[in-house]
Amino acid sequence: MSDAYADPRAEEILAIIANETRIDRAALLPDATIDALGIASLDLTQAVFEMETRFDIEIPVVVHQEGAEFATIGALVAHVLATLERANSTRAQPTPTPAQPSPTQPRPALAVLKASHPDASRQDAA
Amino acid sequence: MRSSVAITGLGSISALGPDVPALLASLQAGRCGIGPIATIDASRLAVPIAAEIGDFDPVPHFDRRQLLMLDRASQFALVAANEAMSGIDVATLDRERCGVILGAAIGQTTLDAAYLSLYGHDAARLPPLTVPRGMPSAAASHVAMAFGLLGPCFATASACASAAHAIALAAGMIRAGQLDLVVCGGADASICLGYLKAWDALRVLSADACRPFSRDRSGLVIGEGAGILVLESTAHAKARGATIHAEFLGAGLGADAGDITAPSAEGAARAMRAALRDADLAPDDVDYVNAHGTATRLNDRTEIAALHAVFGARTAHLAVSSSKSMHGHCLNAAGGLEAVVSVLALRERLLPPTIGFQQADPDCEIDCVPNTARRAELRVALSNSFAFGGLNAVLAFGRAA
Repeated sequence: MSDAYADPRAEEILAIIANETRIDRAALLPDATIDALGIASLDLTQAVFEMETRFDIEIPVVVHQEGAEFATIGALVAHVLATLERANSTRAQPTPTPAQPSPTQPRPALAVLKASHPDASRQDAA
Repeated sequence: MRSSVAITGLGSISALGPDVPALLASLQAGRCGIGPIATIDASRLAVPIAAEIGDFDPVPHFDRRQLLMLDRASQFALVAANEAMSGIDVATLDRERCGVILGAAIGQTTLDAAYLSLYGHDAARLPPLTVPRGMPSAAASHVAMAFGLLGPCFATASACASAAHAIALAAGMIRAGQLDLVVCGGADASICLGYLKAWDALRVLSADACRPFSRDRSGLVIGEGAGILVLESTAHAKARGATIHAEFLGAGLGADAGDITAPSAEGAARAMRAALRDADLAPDDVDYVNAHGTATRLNDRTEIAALHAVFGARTAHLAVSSSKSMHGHCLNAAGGLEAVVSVLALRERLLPPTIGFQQADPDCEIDCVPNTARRAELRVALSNSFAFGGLNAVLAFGRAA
């Protein structure tokens, strides 16, 4: 799992997790469990949303038989990196699907939302 | 024997000011909180006026994490609940016997912004807090969380009577001995393009001002804000030496079972009579009625007909005013804000005015306290809420003994 941290994008993912969970980056070790760090599920959900927005990807839900979606920080980072890999390979080989007007540029979804949402822009400023 | 119920806390935020002292000063001065819409782009609205809280800045009230979770309506609810609960030491309460009942506070601005980004801007995803911010019970939950109140917590939905129903239920649970204290009332923040366009379509909004009972009245004006009361069993309040602003005397609830928008004089009269019966009062005991008074042609005419049915010949001289002329129609919060106004009227011996009154209407023969507040020795006040769908709630309050 610690291999995931070698990826150049890992640091950005960890920075988003640190920001959304208010947990020091140094504590976000690969084997650190979400439980032990005391991360609220809503904070983790918010972190995933911020990553989706930052990387313009949709991070699929991981279904576990027991426990939370991700047991450790390393598992979360690895899942996001795997999603990024899949997205990159899809984007590298664009299939001609004229019926589906998929934009080639990443859509600035959050920027749009913030522009239309006074609270969101205030949060950003705060 | 049922417990008597005291009002031991008041909180408000509206176009008339950020707290109860500001509200009271505005009622005394007959100040109008209605103006051109400034918090959103109103260029597509047929009616670009409202009673907005234009200068509301949530940042001093909430930290960044909290704010992410709070629709504007929940923000209003918390600000007003904080004021209502100030001076109450929660640590001294049996928190399982303390509840929160608020009118449904739909996260209109949260949902409107989310759907705009989804449909209008092709957003790939919505903020994960859209659901918890949008749910109509969120404001009640946040108030319970803020004070650690562990008793029943829920939201009532009866359109523009929602907050009045919340107060009636809160009082009922205290009377029945189920609870010691309930934070109740309502909050509403509906000034967003989607919802105001929907109101435009109903053709009931006034393009210039809210002039209840005036012959030239032209419709209602939407407002926003919150009105929160702390209701408490009188014995509990006295035991802890609480300030009692007024007494809750009774409530009358009922349905027209008639039309989804048109009001019914019979239904409104039934609710007023039920409130008087519940409060063990005669019509002659009532000194002031805070009217539903939306300033639509039909509402005001119908409400006055209902008053005639209940108060007879006395109606022509009865003080009946609509504070909506100042703070607008705050929809699901209206019954809460107007209950606060009614309690202030009793406590301050004040008849709040109906402002914008220009011309007597033969269909509205009452003393609407035109344009200028007056001093009066008030003992009993009614607060009327007659909602779409024929959902009627009348609250009776008495001056603190």
